[in-house]
Amino acid sequence: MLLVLADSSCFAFDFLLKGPKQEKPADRQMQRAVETSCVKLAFETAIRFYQKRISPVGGFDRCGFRPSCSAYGYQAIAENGPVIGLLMTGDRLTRCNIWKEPGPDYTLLPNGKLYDPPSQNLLHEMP
Amino acid sequence: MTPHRKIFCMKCLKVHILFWCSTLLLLFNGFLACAQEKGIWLTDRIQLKLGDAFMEEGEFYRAITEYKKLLILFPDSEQADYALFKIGMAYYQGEEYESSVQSLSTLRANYKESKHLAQARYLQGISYWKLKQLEQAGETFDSLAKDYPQSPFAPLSLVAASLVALDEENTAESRSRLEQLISRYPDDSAARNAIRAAPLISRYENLPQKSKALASVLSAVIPGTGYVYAGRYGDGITAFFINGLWIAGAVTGIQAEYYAISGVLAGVGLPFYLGNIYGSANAAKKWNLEVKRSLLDQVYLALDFKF
Repeated sequence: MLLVLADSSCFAFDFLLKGPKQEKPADRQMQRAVETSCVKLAFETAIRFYQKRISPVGGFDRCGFRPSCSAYGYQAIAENGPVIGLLMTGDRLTRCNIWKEPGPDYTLLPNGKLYDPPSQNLLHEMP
Repeated sequence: MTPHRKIFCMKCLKVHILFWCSTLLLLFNGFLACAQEKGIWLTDRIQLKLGDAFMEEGEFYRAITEYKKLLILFPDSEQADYALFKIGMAYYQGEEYESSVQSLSTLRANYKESKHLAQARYLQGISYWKLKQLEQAGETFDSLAKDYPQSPFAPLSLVAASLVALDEENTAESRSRLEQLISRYPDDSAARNAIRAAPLISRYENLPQKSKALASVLSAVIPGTGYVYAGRYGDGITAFFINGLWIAGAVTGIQAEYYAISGVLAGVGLPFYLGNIYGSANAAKKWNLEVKRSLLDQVYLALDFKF
C-alpha cells in the first residue's frame, strides 16, 4: 500500500523534476511584423545590408567583440530605439580599437572574442 | 456414536487451527524476511535518506520530490520539520529563491519548536537577499540575531545584515551591525573578521567617484577627453582621431565649397561624436561601479563571507 502511494506521489510531483522555469526567447518574427518606426526600420535594413553584402568581402572575422559591431548596432537600435541605439553604436565603433583587452568590462570568450552586449552599456541600467 | 464423533470433530478442529496458524506464521515471517532483504520497507527515515542522497548528488528537484513524499506519507513524523527545511534548502540550491522563502516560511509557521528554525531563518534571509529584497533580508537577519542569540547563525546573520546594509548604501547601519557583532561575540572568529572589515566600510563612504556629467562635457568640448578622464586612454585616443578626421573632412569640404560631401561627412560623423559623449558618461559610470565592486570584494574577503 505504501509503495503504491509512494509511486503515485512520484507522478504527482513529476513537474518538480523539470527544473526551474525558463523564459522563452522573444519571437523576433513577431517583433519585425509589428515594427512601425520608419527610422528604426531604415537603420536595421542598412545594418542587415552591411552584414549580408559588405561584411563578407575580405572573408574573415575582423571584429574582436561579441556580438560583433554590426550585430551590436542592430540589437541596440531594436532594443533602445534609433536615437539611443545610434549613440551606442557610435560608442561601440570607437571602443572597437587595438587597445581593447579582457578585464572587468569585457569577458574573454573561448573563441578569443570579448563579450560586450548592449545591455552592459546602458546608462540608465545597472550592468 | 454421537459423543465419539464430537470428540473426533474437536480434535480435528484443533489440528486444523494449529495447521493454519503455523502456516500463516511461516508465510508472514517469510514475507518479513523477504521485505527486509530487498529493502522495500518504507519508513520516514528511509524516505529521508533518499532525499539526502539526491541532495548530495546535486539532484535538487528529485530531492524535493523525496522530501515531499515524506511529508505526504508520514505527516506526523518527527523528521517532518527537517524535510521541510531541506526542501527550502534544495530550492535555494536550485536558485528558486521564492519557493525557498515559501518553504522556510511554512517551516517557521508550522514547526515552532523545530531545532532547524535558526538555520532556516538565516537561509530565508539569504534567499531574500538573492531576490534583491534587501529590506526583508535585513529584517530577517536582525530578527535571527535577536531571537536566537546563542545560535551559531547569530554572528553570521549580523555579518550578512551588515553586508545587506552596504548593498543599500547605508554605511552607518552596516558599521553599527559590525559593532554589535564585535560587542556581543568578542571571541567569535566573525568578530575578529569584523574588526578587520570595519575600516574598509569607512572607506566606502569616501570612495573616489567620476562625474558622468563632467565626462560628457569634456568629450563634447574635445572628443575623447571624457574617456581619458574615466581612465580609458586607448578609447580616448581613438575617439579623438576618429572625430578629428570627420570634423576636419567636413570643415575642409565647407571651405572648398563641396557642401554635399561636407554634409555626408558631417552626417556620418555625427553618431561618432554623440556616441563619444554617451560612451564617456558610460565609462565614468563603469569606473564608479568598478571601484565599488573592488572595495566590496575586499569587504567580503575580510569578513570571509560566502553564500
